[in-house]
Amino acid sequence: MNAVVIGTGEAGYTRHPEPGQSGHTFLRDAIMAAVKDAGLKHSDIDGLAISSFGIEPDKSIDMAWRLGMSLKWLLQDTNGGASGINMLGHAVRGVEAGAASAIVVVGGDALGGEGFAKLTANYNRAIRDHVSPLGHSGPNSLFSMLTQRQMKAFGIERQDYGQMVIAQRAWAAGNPGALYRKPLTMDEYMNAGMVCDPLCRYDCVPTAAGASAIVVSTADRCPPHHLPVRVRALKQSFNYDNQEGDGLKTGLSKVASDLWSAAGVQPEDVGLAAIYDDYPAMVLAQLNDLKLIPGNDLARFARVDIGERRFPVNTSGGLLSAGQAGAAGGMNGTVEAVRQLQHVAHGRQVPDARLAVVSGYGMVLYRYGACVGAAVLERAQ
Amino acid sequence: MKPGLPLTRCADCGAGYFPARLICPRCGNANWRRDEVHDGVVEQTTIVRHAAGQTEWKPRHIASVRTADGQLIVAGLEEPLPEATKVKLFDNDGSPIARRNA
Ligand SMILES: [Zn+2]
Repeated sequence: MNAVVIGTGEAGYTRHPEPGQSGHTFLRDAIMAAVKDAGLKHSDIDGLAISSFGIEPDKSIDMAWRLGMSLKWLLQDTNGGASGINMLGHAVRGVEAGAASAIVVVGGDALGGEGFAKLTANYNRAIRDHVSPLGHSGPNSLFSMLTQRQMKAFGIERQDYGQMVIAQRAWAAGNPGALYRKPLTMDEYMNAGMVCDPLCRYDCVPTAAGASAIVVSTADRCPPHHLPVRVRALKQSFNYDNQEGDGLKTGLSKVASDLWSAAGVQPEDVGLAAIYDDYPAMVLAQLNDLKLIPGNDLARFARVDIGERRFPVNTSGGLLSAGQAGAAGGMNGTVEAVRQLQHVAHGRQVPDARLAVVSGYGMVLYRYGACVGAAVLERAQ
Repeated sequence: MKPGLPLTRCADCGAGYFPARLICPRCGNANWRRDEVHDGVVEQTTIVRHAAGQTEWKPRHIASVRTADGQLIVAGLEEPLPEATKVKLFDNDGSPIARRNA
């Protein structure tokens, strides 16, 4: 693929928006930051991909109008945590097909606690009609039971998940954009109040307000202050098992071999991973599906490789520490991986980062997420 | 609260689904008949102790239940039940409820 990422931008990632700030203004601010980082003028942008739970009744075209953009290419994405990868794929193909020359891809929201509760209770017909009346209160209950299945199947202890959460918090200390940056101890993790057994509050993403954006274009448009980042391969899977499994595998298990062969590299060549972390169990599930965990030993990988930060996972702090700003959750990992590969992740830079894998996961149909995708990104020389 | 969980069953291949589907993923047909399943086994349970946006919240018990017909469903419990408990299934206006099979 010839299209590259040439700029990133983020806005907000705050718990409490200031008066005048909203989902719309965070989306705008992230877009403006990404366009500036890409060294482009506002009028250079001829494509927009947007994902947000909170822009209704506006649609992508209303946003284009409000954002002062006249475009040749427009996309609105509704794939939640998998929207970032989906939009990246469409944007890359859009640029390569000549449909647009510079596409800004953005996700963001300012839902707040009440907005989040409303969103998750009415997520789709199946959840609204059959699950919400039980008092499920968002996806926590479903993923608490999935986590129990994973603990049993792979011999994982709560401390192992704790190591992952603590490691992500340690990475977050180096990210000025992260919501929570204070180091977390195992005592604090183990003694934290349960939300939905066995998930404690540190296993559940904090709701933030903000937005994340990238610019996809061609390498000749990349400004001199950083290198472009190439998408070596991108694969996705939607509703691979009709919700009839245990959720311990995602659709990535079906496409991982294709992903690595299309990328022309091996899992062990990758220097860092940005894995959608709605819950620690899902980070392990996706890493395993992507063939990044030797011998299916999820517990050891959590404790040693992630916990001791030998293999960098979610160096922004991930959603668990950086915060999830609604649909920005699908973009956070891509922004971080691009910055690492551009060697501009000041304070948390992985030395000599050259190849990264990024994933997105989301859209609970009934029992677990049904949309998933991953991309292999490379620092272009 | 009605006894039994309503299923949509494919009239062609016999597969049963909850919640209802439009096309059968097994055979690709759309000929449905109504059916019910009454029995199940608790596989996992959890306690919803907090809920976003709620201040007065009473902890709820929720279970993943495998029905006698094979569907994996999310059911409400009226009391905490251990894993592997055999349950009877009820339909509470669309929401599955599981009660210990006395
Ligand atoms: Zn059928």
